Parts: sequence; C-alpha cells; structure tokens
Amino acid sequence: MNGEDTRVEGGCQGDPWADRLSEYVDGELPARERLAIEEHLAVCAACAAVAQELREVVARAGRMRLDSAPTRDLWPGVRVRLRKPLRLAPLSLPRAGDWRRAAPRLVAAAALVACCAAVAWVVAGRLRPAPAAPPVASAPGQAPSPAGAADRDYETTVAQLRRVVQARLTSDPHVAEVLEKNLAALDVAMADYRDALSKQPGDAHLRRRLIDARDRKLQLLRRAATLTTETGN
Amino acid sequence: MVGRRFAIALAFLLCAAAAEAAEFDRTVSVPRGTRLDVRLYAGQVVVRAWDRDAVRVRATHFTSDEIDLRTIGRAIAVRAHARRGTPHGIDFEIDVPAWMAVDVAGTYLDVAVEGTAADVAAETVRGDVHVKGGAGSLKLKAIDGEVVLEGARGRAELSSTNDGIRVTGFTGEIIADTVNGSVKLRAIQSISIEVGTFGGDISWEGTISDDGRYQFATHTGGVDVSLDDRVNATVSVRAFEGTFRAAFPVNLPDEASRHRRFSFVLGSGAAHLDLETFGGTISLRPLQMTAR
Repeated sequence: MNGEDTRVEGGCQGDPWADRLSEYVDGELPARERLAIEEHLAVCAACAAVAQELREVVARAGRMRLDSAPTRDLWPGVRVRLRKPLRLAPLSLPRAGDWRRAAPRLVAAAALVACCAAVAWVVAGRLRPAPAAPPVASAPGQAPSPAGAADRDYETTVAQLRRVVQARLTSDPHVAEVLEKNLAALDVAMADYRDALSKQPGDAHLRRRLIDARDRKLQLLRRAATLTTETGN
Repeated sequence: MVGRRFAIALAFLLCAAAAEAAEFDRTVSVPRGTRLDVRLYAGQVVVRAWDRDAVRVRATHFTSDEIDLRTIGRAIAVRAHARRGTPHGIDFEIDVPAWMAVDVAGTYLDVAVEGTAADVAAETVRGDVHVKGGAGSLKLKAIDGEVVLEGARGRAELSSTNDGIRVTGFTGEIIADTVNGSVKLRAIQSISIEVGTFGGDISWEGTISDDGRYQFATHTGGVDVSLDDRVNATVSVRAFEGTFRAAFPVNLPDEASRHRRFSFVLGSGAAHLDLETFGGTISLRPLQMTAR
C-alpha cells in the first residue's frame, strides 16, 4: 500500500509525481501538493524537464493565433486532455490469467526453445543478436505552410510537439505509426481546404473547416505529447 | 552438461508458473452516490451492474503486481502497479450498483461497461471501449480502438482517432468525432447530432425530429443517410469535389450542379440536416431500403 497515493503506476516506476505534472503546469494542484511537487522538481531532472516542456507548449498554445478567428477557443479542449495523463510503453504485457491458463504449453515451448538454442549454440558457437527495434515512422510531407506570423507560430508549435512526441514514442512504434497516419490525413484535408480556398477565398465555411482541421491536429499532438509525458524515455 | 542445464531451466519455469499468478477478489459496500474510478496501465476492465449496493473487484494478476482498492472521498478507486519492472496487463471484472457512475482510464486497455444507468467515462490509448447501457454524461474516447455505445441515453461525447464509432439504440445528444474512422448511428432518437470525421464514412438510420439539428461532415468519406418518408427537414448539402445521390425525388436548384452546394426541403422543412463531404459521396435513401 502506498498511503494516500492513488495514482496510476506504470512506465515511470517509482516516480509518484509524473502523472501530476500537467495539473501542476495548469495550476490546478492544491497548495500542499504544489509545494510537494516543486520540492520534487528541484531534485528530479527528468520531471523538471518534462514540466518545462509542458510550460513551453502551454505558453506557445496560449499565444497562438490562426489566420482568422477560430470558431472556438483551442485551449480548453487541450487543457481537458491534459488532466488525464496516461503512459505509453512497449506492448509486451503478459497477463497473469493468460499465464496460468497457458503455463503447460509455455513450459513446453520454453523447453523446445531451450533445446533449439542449445543445439544452435553448439553448432554455431554463438547466437545471432536480435534485430534492433524499428525506428519511429518519420513524419510524412508537411502540408504547405500558410503565410503569416500567426501561421508560422502554429507551424512552430506543431513542429515542437512533433519532436516531443516522436522522441517519446520510440518505445511504441505502433502508436507512433498510428499518430503519423492520422496527422497525414489531417494534412491532406488542410491542403485540400487551402487549395479550395485559393479558388473561393470568400468561402467562410471552407475557412472554418481549415481551422477545424488545424485545431484537430493540434489537439491530437497535444494529447499524444501528454500521453507520453510519463514514459520516462 | 546440457541436459542438467535444461533440467534446471525446466524446473525453474515450472516453479515460476506455479508461483507467479495470484487472485484478487474483494467486495466493499458503497453508499449511494459513490462513483467508481479505475486507472490502469494495461489489460481489460469489464464493469457490470448488479443489484447490490456494493462493489466487487476480481482480477488475476502476477504476484509482482499490486492491486489497490480504496475509498477516496465519494469514489471507489481501483489502481494497480508493478513493484518492479515493466507493468503487466491485468484483466479486471468489477460488479457495481446500477446507479454508480463509472470512470475508467488506461493506456493499453479494453473497457466494457454493461447495464449501468449512470454517467460513464472511459478513455484508452490502444483498446476498444464498449458501453451497453449508461445514462447521463457518456464520454468515451480511444486513440487506436473502436468506440461502441448501445442502449444508452443522455449526452454522448465520443471520440476515436484511428478507429470507428458505433452507436445503436441511443436517446439524447451525440457529439462524435474521429480522424480516420467511420461513424455508424442506428436507431437514434435525438434532436442534436454532430458528427465529424476526416477519412471515414458516416451512416445514419434514425428518426429526424422536427425540432432537431443533425450535422454530418466528412472529408474523404461518404455520408449515407436513411430517412423516414415522413421526414420534415431542410437539407443542406456541401459536396465540394464530391457527389450527391438521392434514392427518391428531390428538387435541386439550378446552381446545384455547378457549385455542389445547395439545399432543399423535405416535408415542412422543420428540422435541419447538414450533410458535407469534400471528396466523397452523399447518399439519401428511404429508411425502408435499409431496414431489411
């Protein structure tokens, strides 16, 4: 038992404050917990770095403007997601129930593997090392960058979030791939809307759709960045 | 020499198999108004309603994992963590009173909630969310997993980034969005529906209420709407580079073919039905054609 500690334990073992950082950055922690986490940040470089990154992203998102007024404020949606941080780690997760049911077969399989390994060791002298984990999928071609300082700010924020997410998703190539696939779909949509807007510049609906897509992309990246905050990668 | 090592390894594995698993089974009484709060890293959570004012939590887990069940304020909190090393997936079965609000979140987690009649919130990164029942606020989210809601009522906020959303037999307001998934809505009674996807299709079979507003928008997918022949709705269509098809007579204005953006009236036109695709096909068909 951990006293009053009720947080989810996971990829960042032994760091009870990791999943409270976003609440801390948002200023949502009670004073007592805030003081405690500040003490922790003073001695934990990893958490301090994550907190700093979150502050930068929050500040940038707060400053960000789009090329026309958004139909709704972006930040509340992002902020809501920040409240429930989750963790990512490799999906090598045996379950005790599975183990119990499959134990005889697993033991037999393990014995077979051991025999094969022994024979291979005798014959070849040594075993070949396992291949390295696949790299995180690289970002697909970015949508054309729109003009204007506000758009550059948006693109800077997106690029920053991408870097954070890619760096932290190295332990889960599948989720990284899913993320890139969905970001690519949003990029395609944005490119289509921009193209259509170039032909119909007065179409407010198209403009709103473009803003929605950008909003969605930002939200997705922010969510992914927060989800991976506690991986400890 | 090799034989001895093999025997030792086999004995070790057998011992490990016998010692690793443990059962967790605990029941606690709960006063009305208590909610269930589950935070897990991986595995599966099945929550079922029963007729007792108590919560029973069952799980099979490794002895290296620790399960924590406690009361915090007005919540029953379920947590699990590994004492050392990588956390394992744990399958939970939880029985709760039907009146209990349920909140489940995790990373590699499948979530199923059945038979409750209160708020449900479920969020996962990789895994499906299936909710059967529920009333009030229903917030179901997955990044890489399907979101399914059946036989519920209230206000549903549904989101799945990479997978589909299915809703059947729902009464109330729905906001559903996904990036690459499709959205299927069947047997819905609602006056407020807002559905958006970028890469998926949208399909609707349900009643259009005279005072309702129904918005379906996709980018590359299609929108397939089945309508009752007594429907009263003003239908707004935006097909951009897509196409529009109707399986019954519709009087389209002249500019429709040029701009692919038009509206028309069915019946009295009381309800608002907004249909949009950038590059897909919008199809309108009578409900009878799909109710086979």
